[in-house]
Amino acid sequence: MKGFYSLIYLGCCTLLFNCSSEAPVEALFTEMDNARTGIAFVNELQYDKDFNVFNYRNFYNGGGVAVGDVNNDGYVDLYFTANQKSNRLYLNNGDWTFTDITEKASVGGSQSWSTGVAMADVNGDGLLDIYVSNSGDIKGDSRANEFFVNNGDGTFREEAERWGIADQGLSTHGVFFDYDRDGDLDLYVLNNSYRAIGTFNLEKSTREIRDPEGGDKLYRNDGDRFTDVSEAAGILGSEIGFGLGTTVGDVNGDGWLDVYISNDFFEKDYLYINQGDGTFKESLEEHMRHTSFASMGADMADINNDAAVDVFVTDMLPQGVRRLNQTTTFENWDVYQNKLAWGYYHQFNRNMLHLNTAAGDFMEIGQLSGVEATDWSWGALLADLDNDGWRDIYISNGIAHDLTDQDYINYISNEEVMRSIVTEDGVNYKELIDLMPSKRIPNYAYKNVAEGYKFVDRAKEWGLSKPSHSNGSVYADIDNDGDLDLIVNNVNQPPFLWRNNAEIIHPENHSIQLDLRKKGGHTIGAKVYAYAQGSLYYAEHVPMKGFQSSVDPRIHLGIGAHTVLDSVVVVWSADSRQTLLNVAADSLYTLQNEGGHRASIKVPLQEPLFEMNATYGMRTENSYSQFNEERLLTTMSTTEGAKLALGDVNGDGYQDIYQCGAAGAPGQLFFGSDWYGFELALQQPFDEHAASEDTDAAFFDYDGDGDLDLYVASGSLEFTAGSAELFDRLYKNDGRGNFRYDANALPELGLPTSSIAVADFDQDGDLDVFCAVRGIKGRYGVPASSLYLMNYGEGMLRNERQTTRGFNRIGMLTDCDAGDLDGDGDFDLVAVGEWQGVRVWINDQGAFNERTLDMGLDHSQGLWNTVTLEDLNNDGQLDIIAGNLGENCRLEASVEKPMALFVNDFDGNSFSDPVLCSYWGDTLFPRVLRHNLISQMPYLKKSNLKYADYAGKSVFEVFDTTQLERSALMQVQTLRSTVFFNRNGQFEHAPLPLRAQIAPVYAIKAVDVNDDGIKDLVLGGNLHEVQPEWGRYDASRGTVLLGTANGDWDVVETHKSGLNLDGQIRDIQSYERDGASYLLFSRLNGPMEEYRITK
Amino acid sequence: MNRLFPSLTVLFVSFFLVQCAPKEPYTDHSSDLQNEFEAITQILVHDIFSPPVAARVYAYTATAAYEVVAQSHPDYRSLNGQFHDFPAVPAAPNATEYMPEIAALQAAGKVATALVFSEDRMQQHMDEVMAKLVQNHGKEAVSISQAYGEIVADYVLNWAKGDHYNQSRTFTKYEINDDPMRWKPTPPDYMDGIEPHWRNIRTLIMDSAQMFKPVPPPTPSMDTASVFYRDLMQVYHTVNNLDDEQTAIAKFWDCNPYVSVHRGHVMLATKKITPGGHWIGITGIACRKAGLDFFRTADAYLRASTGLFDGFISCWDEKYRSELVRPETLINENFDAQWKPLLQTPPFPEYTSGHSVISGAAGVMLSGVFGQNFAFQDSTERPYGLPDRSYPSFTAASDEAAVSRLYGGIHYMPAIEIGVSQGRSLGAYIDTTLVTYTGNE
Repeated sequence: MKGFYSLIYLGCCTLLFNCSSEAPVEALFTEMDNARTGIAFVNELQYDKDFNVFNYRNFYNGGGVAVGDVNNDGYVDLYFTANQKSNRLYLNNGDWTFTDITEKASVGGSQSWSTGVAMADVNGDGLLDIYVSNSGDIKGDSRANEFFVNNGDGTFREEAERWGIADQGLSTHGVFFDYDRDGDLDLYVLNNSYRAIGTFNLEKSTREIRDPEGGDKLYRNDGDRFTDVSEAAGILGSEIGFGLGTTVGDVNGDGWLDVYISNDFFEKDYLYINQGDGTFKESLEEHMRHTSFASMGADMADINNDAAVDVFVTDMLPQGVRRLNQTTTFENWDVYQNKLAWGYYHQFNRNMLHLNTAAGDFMEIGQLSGVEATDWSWGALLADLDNDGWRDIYISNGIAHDLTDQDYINYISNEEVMRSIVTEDGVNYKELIDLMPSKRIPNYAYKNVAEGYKFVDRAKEWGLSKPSHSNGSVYADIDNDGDLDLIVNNVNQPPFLWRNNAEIIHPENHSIQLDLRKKGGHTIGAKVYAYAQGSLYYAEHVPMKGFQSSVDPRIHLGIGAHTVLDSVVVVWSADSRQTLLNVAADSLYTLQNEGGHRASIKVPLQEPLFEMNATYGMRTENSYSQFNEERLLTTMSTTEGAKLALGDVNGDGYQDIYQCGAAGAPGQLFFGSDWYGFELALQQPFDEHAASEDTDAAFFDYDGDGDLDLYVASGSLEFTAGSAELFDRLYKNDGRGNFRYDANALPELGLPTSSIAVADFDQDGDLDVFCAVRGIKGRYGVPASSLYLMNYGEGMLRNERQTTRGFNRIGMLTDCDAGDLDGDGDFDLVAVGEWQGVRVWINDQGAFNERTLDMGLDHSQGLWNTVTLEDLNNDGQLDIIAGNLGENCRLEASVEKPMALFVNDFDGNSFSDPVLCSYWGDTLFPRVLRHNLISQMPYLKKSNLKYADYAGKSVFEVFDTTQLERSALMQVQTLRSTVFFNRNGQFEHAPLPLRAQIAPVYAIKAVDVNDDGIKDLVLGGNLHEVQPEWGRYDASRGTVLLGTANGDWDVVETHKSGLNLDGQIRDIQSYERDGASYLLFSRLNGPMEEYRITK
Repeated sequence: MNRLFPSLTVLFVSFFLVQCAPKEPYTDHSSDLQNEFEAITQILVHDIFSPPVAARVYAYTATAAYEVVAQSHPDYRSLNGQFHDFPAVPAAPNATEYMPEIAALQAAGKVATALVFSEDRMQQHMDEVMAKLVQNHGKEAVSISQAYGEIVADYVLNWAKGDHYNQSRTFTKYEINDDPMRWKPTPPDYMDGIEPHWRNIRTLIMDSAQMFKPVPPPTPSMDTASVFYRDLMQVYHTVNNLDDEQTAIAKFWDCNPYVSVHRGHVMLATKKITPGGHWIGITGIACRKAGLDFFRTADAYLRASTGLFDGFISCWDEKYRSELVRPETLINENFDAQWKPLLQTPPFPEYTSGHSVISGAAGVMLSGVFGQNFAFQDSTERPYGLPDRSYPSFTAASDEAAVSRLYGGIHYMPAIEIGVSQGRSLGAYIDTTLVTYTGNE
């Protein structure tokens, strides 16, 4: 196949020209002067009293940009859409000047309001055609979409009617792709609803009812005409579709192109999985656990170089504190729960980075990677801007008027205006809009700094931070120098043309470009795999993307330091592929697809580490809203049960399992056996304590009769202290696995136990129990006392006050474990909690002395959920493994800039008010929105009457200093799940890799998974009961970390580990049965899952 | 010269005033008090106070003004021993310059300033009033009177602290469940139920929040033969067939302090007076028309606002007992998903109708002051662009306010009828129990 591509070596004349004629470049990008480039286009918007954002919702959505070489001269040309003015087509002269040929080409468009634009060779004549989406016109006689067919002589003819694609909807964008793989380009038209927001009754979703006037449409190309096949193909097109983005790619790697639809407002996004039979199945909920709320532009591309496309979707969350407080509100828990029940799924107000597990399932890591908040964002582009081999993220943003300014909404005190709205007389909306604040803000350019898991905004350093209201944006190699330039369409401001200087700033980096061509056809949907010394670079060819735009149709791959690629595989389509060997970098390759042999490119399958074996039981967590009780709480702590106890209770040689029950449902005992795994044990006494929420359980012989009895801890802050539901329980074993409640074994303390540690602490030959206490109901942040139950023999455990002194008011504990930390032969204690350090108490002849700081565990305050003692490095010393909230969270914490919780009765009403604070820059801000704070403490409304009064205030400005000084102050210094290696009594902090920080860890199992003699870690977690302001933590599908000889961890991605866990994992147990090793995962809702370890 | 002349006059007059007390000082302090309440109403609208909380501001403000009067005039009885826990306040100063009107205005102003959020606006109003009073009565009179007003205000504010308002800010939120007949948040913004614990607020005159507990509402049922279903259909059909007069009535009495309006991509809040604010406005109109002196005016505000305050507690007690679902919810869920009431459904349970209860109570209280057949023209809604309406009596006005909730599509008839009678019963009780003016009519 070698002969079929041609090579254009990039001329150095371009480079020389640039260097010689201008000042030396300092940043990665240089803004090109529009006076010199000849681009006179400006998307100017004029609102008046009759046409404006009050009667046309998408007034400020702006225009798009399309890139493509319309005259086949080797330089890509630019097409800009304008909302109220004529669209413009500029020919690229190759020297950063452009010639406006709109009039001659007849492509200005005749409709009243243009939005998106696509460039594609629709009729297969080798010439790029232009499809313009139109909208805006409320009456509707001037908004049919336009299709400009390229005549090849510098002119175009408008033929939308003739092709059957003069869609009349309020179109946002049209995207061409071959959904049925019949060799021609079909068209998806994204239409926004006609109906006014606020006229919908959300309780009755009309998603399934097609809007006869509008709705999204799929047009099948039948050769000389398109046919609307939306309904038959399974495309939703209802009045609640507020589509702002259509993004196409093969998310599940089956060779059929799938479609992601971003929906604004309350409607959920759609993920259409191509069924390969001419239909799509909307399957978002099967593949993604949550999405952005006001979803806008999106892009789909591989950000972690695993040859699977990831999805990035923009939203409107402002960064930092001031604008967030000024312009943002979040749904409350109840509204969120309602909308869930009504079918709108989990939507949260922030950008989402959905990382593909390479199996078509996604983990959302936007907060971990730091790209979640870029204000009112439109364009999203995933592209390697510095050619280092990793795609970066460029986001264009801004809204010409701050529509959501909370003071504007609540305090436009103009009485005339108010009256005219109330009486429904003619309102002069222009006056209303004139009152709205307007602020230009910089766009964002995030550099990929950790293989797709971490991004850093480099807009300023890269020279891209000029403030603007930006909408559609594209990347394109305007000057054919091997890097991607950026072109951005702005409102009321000339478009940006940013020249990329990567060839000068990063001479160490290289790239290749591929111009894929096919005679008489198209190449959209082609996949490119480029290999270089173990590195893989991947692209899918679908140039219509971002927001209302169409990027450079030539595929660009940054390849870092590689100067030669070992091979490049182009998969043209399912039945055709092509391989190039020893491909030199810094070149543009034009490849002609001449048809060819069948392609099958599959990454060779390794045997996964885990294989799903069986499921047992079916647990259901009770519903309870702790948020009703404590308004300032961000997460609930009432869903931490579902723990397991493991032991052979009937002496048959097989491990048996007790699973903790939720409040209102009893715990369950399962007998292990050879054939059936686990079988539910009947006629046990647990029903009588069903009202309790079990939070921990352990099998041990408390009465010294030689069998394993069962201790079940009762907890959860949904119960009032002292209530019978909170009594811990001991069940006596008759030796054959029949349990009987022993009412006298334990004191009736009625404290919310979170966890127990069982050991012979006083070395008198029987087992004692340490009970960690979770907190005080309704008093978040107020420290609770934990306790120690000493075994007096004969089956009596009693609260031992003398020994408990050290545990008075220690905090909100979540977990504990016992083990010999100092090597003196007795059991010491480790405990963790919320706003707690990892704390250790050393056992000195039965007295516990806290030695946290002495043993190097200072600076460990976190939001810990779980702790385990294990000798990970086989040095004979117990290490501490602790599960934290993780870093896939909007707040950050460090020793220098900790999160803080001030707890005090600020308003003197005898209830404690916990105020969450964190640093932004060098200032400690309350991270509670104004209306939430004043609903708890109304007196604060006086000093913060307007949102603007509160927006930029530090916690020291909001509250009285003396009050803060008198508050209980708790801190979080790390959010990372961490291993603390025991180095002879000093603990060395070793945070787990970034990949393990994608979700809160609630369960840890250290076990040698790959049989290399080194212990590995399996982690489970997630937390769903989170205020929508923060959004539920659900990215974990089970994390597998393989221990290495040097104490590091190798991350095993989901598709390789075979571990794909749903829901919220709360415990993991390991055991052997008939020579095989298993892990058992327990979660809040659903059955337990048993995986076999394959090695 | 013409232009100069008036200012010279002002200069001359003020010079004269400062020098010595005028012979015939400005005396219409009754309208000063009316203006003060109007200023408070505007601030409550601006600051977005919910109806029960707004009633609290009116009542405590009126309490302060009235108690000054009671301490200053033998015909008026103190609230000590009448309002629950109300303290004995120090007697009025025995100085010739002391003017109870000024003290009462000051006391009310200070209490209002403490209870609203826009302190500056209230303070600005008070500064203007006091400047005028200094001009009229001299600095000495004003400062002596102000000082006493401050003392009474402090007593009132201290007493107010014990009403559980602050504590109830932290009480649990209303909990939603799946019961289709139980109240749940309503479109378009699905706001939380407001003040679910208002029954814990200390009453003024009533023994307890439950004292006028109404009969339960008709058993909620979607059985087409049930009374409840008939009432539901009545709301549906009434709203679908409103005539102009009914529409005008519904809008006139809307009194929703926070209505969210979506237009295009913009959400705005339009704000109006609360139901209590409407009746405070009527009180001012009646005082003006009857030409009541300052003391009787203070008394009228006190009596009206006491009825409103206890009325809201009684009503809210029932609302969060029966927790009845709003018509909009049931109509949308069962037979017309796109139906919207004429007025935006307010964010709390349906039974009984707050406007009906408090209008019933206020009607009785005002009839007690002004008489059974006191006709008036209601211009309270003028700032919101709505034309005046005229009523032959307070009873007639309260009947119309009540039925407006049916036209508005936010209440069933039992909440209106039983609500009015609940309000009138508690109004009658307060009217007999609360003794204020003991002079001749």
